[in-house]
Amino acid sequence: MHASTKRLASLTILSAFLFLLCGAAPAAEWGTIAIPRIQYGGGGDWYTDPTSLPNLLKAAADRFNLSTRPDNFAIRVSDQSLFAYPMIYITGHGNVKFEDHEVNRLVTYLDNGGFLWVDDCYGIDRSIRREFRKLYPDKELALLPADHPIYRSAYDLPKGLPKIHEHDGKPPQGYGIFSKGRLVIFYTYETDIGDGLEDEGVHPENTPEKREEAMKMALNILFYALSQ
Amino acid sequence: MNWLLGLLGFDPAPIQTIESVRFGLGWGWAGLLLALLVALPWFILTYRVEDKPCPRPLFITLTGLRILFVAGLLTMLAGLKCTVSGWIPQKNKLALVMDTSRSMSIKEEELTRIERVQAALQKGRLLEKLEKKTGITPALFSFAGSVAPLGRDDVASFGLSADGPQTNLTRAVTDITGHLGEGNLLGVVILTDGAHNTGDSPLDALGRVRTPLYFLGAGKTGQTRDLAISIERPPAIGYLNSMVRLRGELRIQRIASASIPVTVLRDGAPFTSLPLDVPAGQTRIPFAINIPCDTEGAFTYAVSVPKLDGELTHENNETAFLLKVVKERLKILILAGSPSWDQTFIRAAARGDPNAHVCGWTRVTDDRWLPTVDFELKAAVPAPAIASDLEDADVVILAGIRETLLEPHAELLLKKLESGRTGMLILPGADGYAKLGYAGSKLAQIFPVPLDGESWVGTPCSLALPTRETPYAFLRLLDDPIENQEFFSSLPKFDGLFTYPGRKSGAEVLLSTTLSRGGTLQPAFLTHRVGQGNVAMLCGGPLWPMGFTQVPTDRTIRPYTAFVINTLKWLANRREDAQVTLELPSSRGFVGQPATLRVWVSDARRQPVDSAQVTAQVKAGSGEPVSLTFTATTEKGCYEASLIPAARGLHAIAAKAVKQGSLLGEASGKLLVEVPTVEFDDPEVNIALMMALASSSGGAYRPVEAHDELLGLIKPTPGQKRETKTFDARDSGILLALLLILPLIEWTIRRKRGFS
Repeated sequence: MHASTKRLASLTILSAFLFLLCGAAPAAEWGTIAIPRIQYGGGGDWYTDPTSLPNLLKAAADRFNLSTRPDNFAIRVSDQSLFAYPMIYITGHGNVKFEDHEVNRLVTYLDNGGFLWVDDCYGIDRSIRREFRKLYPDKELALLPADHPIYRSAYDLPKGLPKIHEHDGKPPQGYGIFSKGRLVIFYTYETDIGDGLEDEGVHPENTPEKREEAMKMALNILFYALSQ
Repeated sequence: MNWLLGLLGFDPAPIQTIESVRFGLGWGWAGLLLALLVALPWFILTYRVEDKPCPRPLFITLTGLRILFVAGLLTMLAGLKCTVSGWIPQKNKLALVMDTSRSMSIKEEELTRIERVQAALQKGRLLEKLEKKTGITPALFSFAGSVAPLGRDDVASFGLSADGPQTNLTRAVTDITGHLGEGNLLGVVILTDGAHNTGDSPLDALGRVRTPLYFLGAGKTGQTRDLAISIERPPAIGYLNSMVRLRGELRIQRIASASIPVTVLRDGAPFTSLPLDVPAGQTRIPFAINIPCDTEGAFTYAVSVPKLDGELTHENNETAFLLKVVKERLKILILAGSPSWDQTFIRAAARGDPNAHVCGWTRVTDDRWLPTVDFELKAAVPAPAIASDLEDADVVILAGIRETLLEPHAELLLKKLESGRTGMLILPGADGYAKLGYAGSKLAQIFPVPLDGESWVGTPCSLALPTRETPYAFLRLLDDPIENQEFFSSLPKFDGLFTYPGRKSGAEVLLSTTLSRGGTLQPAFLTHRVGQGNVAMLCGGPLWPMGFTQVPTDRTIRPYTAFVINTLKWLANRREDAQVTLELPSSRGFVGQPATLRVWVSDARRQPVDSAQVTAQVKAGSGEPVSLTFTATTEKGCYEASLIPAARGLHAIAAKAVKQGSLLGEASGKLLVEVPTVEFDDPEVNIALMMALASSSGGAYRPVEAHDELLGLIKPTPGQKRETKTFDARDSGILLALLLILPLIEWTIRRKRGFS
């Protein structure tokens, strides 16, 4: 291993540790919307795009006067506080893996009103699809059409899921898993909405227009999750 | 010999004539001889008369008695057996069976089928001829759906009528052969039209019958002309403002018409009509009619076709069913000023009730609203169209929406509330309702608290049930009142609470909190009435963790679901506990055919209740009510009883469940009872079936008019069978007693003569 690689790995671990220290979740206040990211197993970088959720929640407060807590914090699926949040978020580039007890808990959460947004930051597609099959072995990921209400809740996105970050030249795809008549998982693939939500300058290639598109889509997801 | 065996306690039946008797020994004769050779000399040598003078005759008598006893004892020990052989008569029984189902009333060439049977029996002296031919007096039966024995007088006077609602030929033959014994039967003579229409197929079920079946077919083929209508599993319940689809079939026999009108009557008044085209050569024409459920209530729908001259019956030209149009769906309208987690979980809880129907409007911005239609979120629209939803709603959930939005509909909302046609659940708005413009408005009266002085207290507080014995079933989530009270106090805390300076007159605290202001515990959940309508107001939040804390244990949110749904039903002026439900197999029953009624009993938490006493009263028209007692089934909370309607018409059923002396609830239902017309579905004489059965069983088929020919085909001689029976002498109490008497006599003689 090169020295530079070692340094990078050490920094990554240190930043993850600091992230956990700073982002410990306080109790949710009544009526205040908070969205935790899920600290999953498997070695993937669950902590990536740290400014995306705070920016989304700030925008929800500024644009729609919603009461939000724009913090970046993480919880594990096994945490008791999982059930305190209307929506949870998964992103990353690497492997995602849920233990058996986490699978049961996550299905319970989703089947009783919870909502999971998975944003592929590039690289989790294979593992997350495998985990989806563990969560709902009898359900298929369905490609949501451009006229689905999730693209027409807070904002009208007539073309459906916007393309934010170019990776493989594929079109952006929004998939869903429905359980008990509800959309319980929304999976944004080949777009990287989270990148577009990050602070200005984090991803210089994202133009203000792209960032606005990402924000509109993320707000749509938030409104859909809270209103369905 | 028979009497001797009888005396010894042995029954030679069924052997009637004993031909031979043989004795045998378990040890064999040689064994007994050897035993005697050993025992007798020893006995004689050891025999003493104590040197006293003993006359020779007496000595011989005493010795003889002793020898006889020893010989008898050894013979018994050797296992004496008696084997008798003789003849038993076989095929000494004969059955004559008459079909009395309704199809036997079909008239062909001026005579009904049953009249043809009557003619054969009375004028044709069929019974006497049968007796003369076989020498056997036939056992007489009638059959339709089941078999009934007949006396000879019944046949002689021929008081039989063709009124059986269905024909089960299979059951008739199996019951008779089972009753008389198949081995004993010379044959079964069946007078029928062969119109089997219920039960197992005779060709399959009677394939192995060894008794010859002799069929006398009553009726003529190619004579029936009929127009019949039937409906398939008619719907019992329809929901208001929806449609039910009625499917049926029209059957045509020898009627030439290109089109036949099907008319639907509702409670006797014309409702709709459908001209049905009749393709050439087709005798069965399926049809479907949509029936709109535009009015609430129970209606009797009659579906009919014209009654034509010369039809074999007019009974199957009309059929009826009962349709109950209900507004059973609990329509919940959510009006939300912003999306919230609480509403999401109320929706999730409402999904637990199949009758619940959620629609709603969620504000995104003033010119952007998210509609929900039957739980499904739709694309945003510029303005909410709540008027029609409000008109239809049973419960309105108000969640932080501005007064200005509701103001145009205030009159409608208040009118519906006052008349009890809707209820309201008020969830706290983010900034409180005073700020939303309700204070001082027309709609301020819906709130159970004065809105002036509303303030938010961000102090976490627990919930408390003010009284153990709460009168509200939706607050009784656990049976034990103490545990129930503890359950509420153990729920997650509210993060905060809107407090008010007091509460309006008549308002009641449903749930209190541990938060004290001015020495008074602040209410969390309040109720009051607006006219006949119920209003409940939640003052704090969040509500949803209550539900979710139930989740990790068993993946259900039942207590929470029950709390939410029961509260909503109570608000909608429904029976919130819904503890007793009557389930009818169909809204339609048939005379003489059992209908299974089921009653489901559950408690306020929607848990099934066992060991309840469930009874029902069934009343038909002006007749006396009939009581039914239900028995518990293997399914918990389910009780069953069978009702066999005796008359046609509307039957009202009122069921109630009682446990430990207290009434759990009541339920009612209606059953429309009709006379079954299945007998006319396929009215032709089924000669092919009768011939096939006769052929497979070794019998014969002839028309009833040619019964003499059939008699010639019946083999008249009863058979006999040799039978052997063995009796063990040790089983005879008489022989044992005789053996024991021998030493007793000897002892008596010796005592009298002064011997020891």
